[in-house]
Amino acid sequence: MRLLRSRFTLCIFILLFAHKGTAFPFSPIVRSSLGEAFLVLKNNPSTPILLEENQTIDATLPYSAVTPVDSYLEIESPSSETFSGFSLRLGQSSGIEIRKPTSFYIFKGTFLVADKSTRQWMFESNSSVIQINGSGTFMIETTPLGFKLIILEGLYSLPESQMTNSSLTSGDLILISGPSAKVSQSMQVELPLILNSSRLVNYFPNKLSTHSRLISAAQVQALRMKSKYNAFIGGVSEDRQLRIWKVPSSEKGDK
Amino acid sequence: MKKVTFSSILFVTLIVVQSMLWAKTNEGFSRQYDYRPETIDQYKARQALLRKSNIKKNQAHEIAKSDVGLQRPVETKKKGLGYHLGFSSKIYYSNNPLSTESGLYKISAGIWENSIHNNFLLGAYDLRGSTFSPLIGISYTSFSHFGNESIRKQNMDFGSLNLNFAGIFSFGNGWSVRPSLGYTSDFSHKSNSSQLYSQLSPSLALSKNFSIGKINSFADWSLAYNFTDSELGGDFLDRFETALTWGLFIPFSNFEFSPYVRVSLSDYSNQSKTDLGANLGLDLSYNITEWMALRIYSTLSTRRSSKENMDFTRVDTGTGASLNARF
Repeated sequence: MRLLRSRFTLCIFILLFAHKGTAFPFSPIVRSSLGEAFLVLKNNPSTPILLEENQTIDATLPYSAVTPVDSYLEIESPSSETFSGFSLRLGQSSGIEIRKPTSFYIFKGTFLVADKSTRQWMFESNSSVIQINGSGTFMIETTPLGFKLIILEGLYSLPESQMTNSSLTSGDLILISGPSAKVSQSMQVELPLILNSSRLVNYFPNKLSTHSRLISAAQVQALRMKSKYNAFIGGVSEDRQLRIWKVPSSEKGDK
Repeated sequence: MKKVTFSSILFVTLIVVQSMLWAKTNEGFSRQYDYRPETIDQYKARQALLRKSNIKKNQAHEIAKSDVGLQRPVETKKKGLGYHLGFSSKIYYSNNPLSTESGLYKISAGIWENSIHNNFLLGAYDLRGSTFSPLIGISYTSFSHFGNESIRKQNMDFGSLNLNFAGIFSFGNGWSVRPSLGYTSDFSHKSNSSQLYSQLSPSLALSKNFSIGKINSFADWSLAYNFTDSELGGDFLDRFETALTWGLFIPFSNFEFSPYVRVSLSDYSNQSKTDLGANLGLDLSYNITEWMALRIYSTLSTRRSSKENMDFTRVDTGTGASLNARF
C-alpha cells in the first residue's frame, strides 16, 4: 500500500513537472515558407524535414528551424480562447533551436517576434544571452559578440542587473555582448526607414498581426523627430567595434 | 528645426502691419459671410505640421544586406510637442468678390489677403494601432480690396480670426478621424474693428490619405454645425454643413502642384434655405527654400441655393508667397 502511494505521488509529480515545462500549448503552424526551410528534430538531426506552408508542427520540443540563403520562414503559434498567439519570423541563413515556446538558442541569423501579449522571452547563443519581458514586436540579429535587439513597437524591459534604465520602447536599439550579457546604451533608430527596408517585416506575403501597431509607432516617431544622423548602424566587429557607415547629408534636420 | 532668420520675422511683421494699416483706410458694404474662402488654407496649414517625413525606399548599400533593414540613428522629442508658424500673402483678381448672383454688386476687384497661422501640436501619442495628436490652431487673415472705387468706398475690408482645437486620431491604413471645435470671428477694418460675424463650429471629419509614388492624395468628409451671430440678424445664418474635399499634392523638382475640389451642402436652421457649394482650386507652388515658397493659383467657386438671388459663381486668380517654420 505504501509502495502504491509513493508511486502515485511520483506520477503526480512527473505530470506536474511536465506541465510546468510547457507553460502553454505549442503546436505552431508554418504561416510562410519562402524558399526552403527545414525542421531539425533533436533526436534525429541527420534528417531535416522540409517545412511546407500551413503545416502544423507537432514535434516534441526542443527542435530547430533552419533557413538557407534566400529562404525565409514564419511560424505562428495560433491564438485560442485562453491563449494569445504570436509569430516568429526567420530571415535568410538563420538557425534557431526552440527549447520552450518562448526560449530559444540562436545559432545564427535574424529573427522577428510579433506578440500582443506580455511574455518573457529568452535568447541564448554561444556568446551571450538575453532575457526580455514585455509585449510588442522586436527583431534580433546575432553579432560576433552577442545580439543586436531592435524594438519596433511596444514596451519591453530587461532585468535591472543588466540595464540601469531597463525600459525599452519603440525605436530603441541595444547591443548585448559577452557571456555576462553586457548591455549597451540604447539609441533610437528611424522606424519608417526600418519598416520600409526590413525584409523580416515586408518580404513576407502576409502582414504581421501587429502591423497597425508598427505603423502607429512609426507615425508617432516621425511626429516626435528632432533630427536624423547621417549614418547607418552596421554590425559589430570581433574586436567589439560597432560599425557605423557615414552617408552624405541630403535632408533637412540631418546631422 | 527650420532656421528662421531675424530678417524673415521682421519681413513677416512688416507685411502684417502694413496690410492692417492699409486695410484701415478702406471702406465697404455687405458680403456673403457664410462663404468661407480660407477653409482649404487652414487645412493645408494643419497638414504642414502633421506631414510625415518622406520615407526613402531600400538603398543599395552593403549594410542593406541584413534582413533587419537599415538602421539610421535619430534624435526624438519626449512627447512630440511641435509648433508651426506660417505666413502667407496673396494678391489676386476676383471677378465677383462680393459673391453675388448678378446686378449692381457683381463687380470685379483685386484682393490682398494676408494671413498668419500658428499651429501648436500638443504631443503625439501612440495608442498601439492608432495615434492621437491634439492640435490648437490660431490664425488671422486680413482681406483688403483694391482696384474698384465703388468697392473700396464701401466697408468691404475685414479681418478674420480663427481659433481651432482639434484632436486627430490616425490609423495605420491612412484613415483619420478629427473631432474639432472652431471659432471664427470677422472684424471690420472700419467702425472701430466692430465684429461683423462670428461662428462657433463643432465638427467631425473623416479623412483618408494615400500616396501613389511621390503623389500624395487626401479625401476629407466633414460634418459641422455652425452657431452664428451676424450683423444680418443674430443667428440667421445658423446652419448644418457637410463637405467633401479631395485633393492631390504632386511634387516635381522644387514645385508642388496641388489641385483640389470641395463640394458642400448647407442647410439653414432659421430660414428655408439649402445651398450646394463647390470649389475647384489649382495651386502651383515653387519652394525657394525649405521655409519659403511662391505660388500661383486659381479658384473657381460656385453656389446653387434654394433661395432666390443667392446663387453665385466667382473666379479668383492670383499669386502669393508663404513663409513656414516648424519647431
